[in-house]
Amino acid sequence: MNTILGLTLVCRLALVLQAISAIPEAQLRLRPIYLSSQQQEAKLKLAAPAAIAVGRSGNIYLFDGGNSRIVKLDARGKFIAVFGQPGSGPGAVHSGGLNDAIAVDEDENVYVSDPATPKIIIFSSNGTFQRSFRLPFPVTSIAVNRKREIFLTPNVARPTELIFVFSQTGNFLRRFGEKLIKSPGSLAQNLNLAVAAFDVKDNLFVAFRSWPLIRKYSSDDKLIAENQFTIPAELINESQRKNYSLEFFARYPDSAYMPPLITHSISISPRGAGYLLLNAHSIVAFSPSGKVTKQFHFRAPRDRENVFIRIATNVNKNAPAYLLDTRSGEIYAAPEL
Amino acid sequence: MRHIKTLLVLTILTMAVMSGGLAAGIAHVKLNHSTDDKAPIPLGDRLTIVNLFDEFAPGCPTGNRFETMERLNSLRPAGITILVIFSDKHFSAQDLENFKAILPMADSLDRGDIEPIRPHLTEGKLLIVLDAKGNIIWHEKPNTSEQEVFSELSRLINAMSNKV
Repeated sequence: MNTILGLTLVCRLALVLQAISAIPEAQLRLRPIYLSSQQQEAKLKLAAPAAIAVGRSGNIYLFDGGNSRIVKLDARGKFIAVFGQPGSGPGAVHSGGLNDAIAVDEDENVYVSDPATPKIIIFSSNGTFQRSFRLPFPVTSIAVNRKREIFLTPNVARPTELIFVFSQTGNFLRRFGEKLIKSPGSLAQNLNLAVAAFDVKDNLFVAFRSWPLIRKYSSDDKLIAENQFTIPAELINESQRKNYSLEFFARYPDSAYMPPLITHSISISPRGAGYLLLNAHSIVAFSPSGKVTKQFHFRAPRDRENVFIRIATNVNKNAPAYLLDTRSGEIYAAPEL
Repeated sequence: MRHIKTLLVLTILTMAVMSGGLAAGIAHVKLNHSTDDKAPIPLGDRLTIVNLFDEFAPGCPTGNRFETMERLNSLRPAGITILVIFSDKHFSAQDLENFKAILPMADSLDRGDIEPIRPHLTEGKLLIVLDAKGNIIWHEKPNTSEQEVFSELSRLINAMSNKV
């Protein structure tokens, strides 16, 4: 009798453990690539960099928001160029906000979403200003596909689609995708914020800022997968779980509730798998179908003083992913990703 | 007491000059109907509500004014025209076409030369209400909240509707 009871308990415990550790975990080492504080020249110091993108060549492009400019580095973090400037006129970019505001296309043309006076500014890879066009809303994320169409996730209160698409010449083309919460309200607006990135086949992955959901859209804008994932246990406590439901948000779209999850950034590897950077200190990996497969733990050099807001990969080549810390202006490579 | 009276007179005079400047400015705003054809603001039979955008305010680019205009548009009875005019200096014809495709009140969006009214804009924008003869009957003051703008204008629209 005791043996049967013992076996049952062991089986139950195993099931519980399986549920808790359903997502395999791994350690991640970080290697410094660029440390703003250690740069001697004033022009090499970053000020609240808000976004990072990696080109086909491996070059790194940073939206150095506090300095109203783009900084171009090589894959090892060696300075190449700066472009863009504050003020007004062609090529002017403004600081403001910590949106995922930079993308590069196949030719490494650079697309910047100016958060302050909403517009898209396009530079060639050598920094020559090409064109800009205005938007009637600020955006939280920008992604460019192989056809050089520009995909934007807007930050608007009014009920509208999730993604807006423009041509490279700045013509509005189409919009698609359902928002998470359709009711108008400030909480609903925050929950509908999203980040987006393409894989090599032009499938678009979208993750919501404060709800654990990854969507995959085909290259013709069809929703082909939707996966909800379990928030890593260390990011949410019991009191935060209370009211953390789509039903609550739809019912109280103007509530002052603070969701525990912040998905800062999304990035896709050449194999079609992807990464989400959560709450500044956590990374989860997902499969090409959008299912979360692994959680990574890493010890940041400055521990909790590091504020990682972006993860970026070279979608064309197997290469380390980069993590951007906006507070210190530091970039680290994560060779395991 | 004399000081207060002087101050009052000066304030009234300043307001009158400002209002006069505003009236002169709005009268000279021209819409770009085509490259060669510039037209004055078309007046509604009863009221014309005009929002002028020289720039989206850097501190508040979240489209609150668009929402106010959309809410007013939904209240609009016959005889009231609503216009949103973007400066042709900062918004291209392509921008306007995009906005018309994206925003819900496409027919109310236009582009024009708003330079004559630029000194009166606050944070790159100004909302103004004209009567059927083009006289200014209400205009936005600095630091007015969107809710206040909406409340005052919806009151004006209701009052106008009740007169019929």
